[in-house]
Amino acid sequence: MLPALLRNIVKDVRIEFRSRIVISLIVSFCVIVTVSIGFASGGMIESPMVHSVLLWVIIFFSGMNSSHIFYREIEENTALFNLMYYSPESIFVAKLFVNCSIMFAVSIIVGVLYLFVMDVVVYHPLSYASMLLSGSLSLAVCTTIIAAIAAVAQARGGLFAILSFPITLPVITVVIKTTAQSFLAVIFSPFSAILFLLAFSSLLGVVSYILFPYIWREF
Amino acid sequence: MFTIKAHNISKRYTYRLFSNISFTVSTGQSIAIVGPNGSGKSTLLKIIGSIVFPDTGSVEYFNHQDAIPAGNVFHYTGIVAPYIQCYNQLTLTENINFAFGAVTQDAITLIKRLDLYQHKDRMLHTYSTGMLQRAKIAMALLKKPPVLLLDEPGSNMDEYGRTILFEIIKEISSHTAIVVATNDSREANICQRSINLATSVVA
Repeated sequence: MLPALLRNIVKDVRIEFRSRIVISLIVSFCVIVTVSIGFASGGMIESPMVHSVLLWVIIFFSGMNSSHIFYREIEENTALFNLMYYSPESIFVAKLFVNCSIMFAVSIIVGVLYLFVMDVVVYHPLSYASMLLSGSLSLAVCTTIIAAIAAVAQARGGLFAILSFPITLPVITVVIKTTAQSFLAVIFSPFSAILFLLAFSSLLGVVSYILFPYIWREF
Repeated sequence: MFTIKAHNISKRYTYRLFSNISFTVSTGQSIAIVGPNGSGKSTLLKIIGSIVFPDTGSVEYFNHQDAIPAGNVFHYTGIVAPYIQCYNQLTLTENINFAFGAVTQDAITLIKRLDLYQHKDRMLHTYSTGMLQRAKIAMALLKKPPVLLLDEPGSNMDEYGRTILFEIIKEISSHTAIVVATNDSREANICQRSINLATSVVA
């Protein structure tokens, strides 16, 4: 399975760097939205909870663009070509890896840019960083399987958003609450939140791995 | 020895495509699916390839005596069809590397034969439609599949390309089960038998 994974990852990365669709979408969305919110708020936002909500809304919508890696396979009729050589399981794990990498990059770009633009002080940088990484991992796992379903259904916008919302809600709730605490000068432990996010990601990842072959072959 | 057994396959979308089609095709045999436009040639080929499921009936796959689950049929098939494309943002060499891990001497010989060698480092989106068809044929044949499913394989190809294609099909026909969906009588004639979907007759 390892060669199959590596070849699929190399293929996705190579195609992405040539087309630059996802990279352009994400970078422009991250930067434009973060800077726009910074200008629009005019430094008036003081509540850590509001900062946390805004931060994760930007990360969430920036990360949504990574679903293009599935749409491209369906739109360009390459999904069956890929299946002729590799198992659906290896295709899923490769896509999950690419999606996680994109989400990590998004959360790091937005996480740093937001602090700079909005002039937010982080009192618990380790907790903040761990929330960005574990939160983006959970979002990536959620959106990978949903993007596959939406791509196969050839419903780019509506279905993806509708399916994403209830599945990502527990993740978003936990990361917003814990990230807000990292903006406060009070002692707290993010351990339980990290544990929840890792457990959620693992469970959904396993379920997605089992379901993906049935989803991906129904086109 | 690989065998495909189809029993009483029927399919309809908003209208009936075909019904009660039964046939068997094994290694060393070839069968053409013919019929007018809209008769369901491509759909039947997709059903044989386990891409689409029939409404009624079943398709069974056997490698020697062992039954193959429908979900694993892709491992045994090479498919050339308009709804299957190679990665256009990659070169032919990169597509071969992606699918097989390396460009072997066999691969070089085949792409030379298909007159693609001098274009192997160009991205496929710069290819003409005929060259793309040849690239798809190369990718399917390099897999050395026991079952080859061809949907209008000669489409968009020039006379030279078609001649090479027919030669290759003849060469591999002794160790491959071949199913061709086509309207072209030359493509149908290279097969030993045919299924006419207009009459549901297997001849």
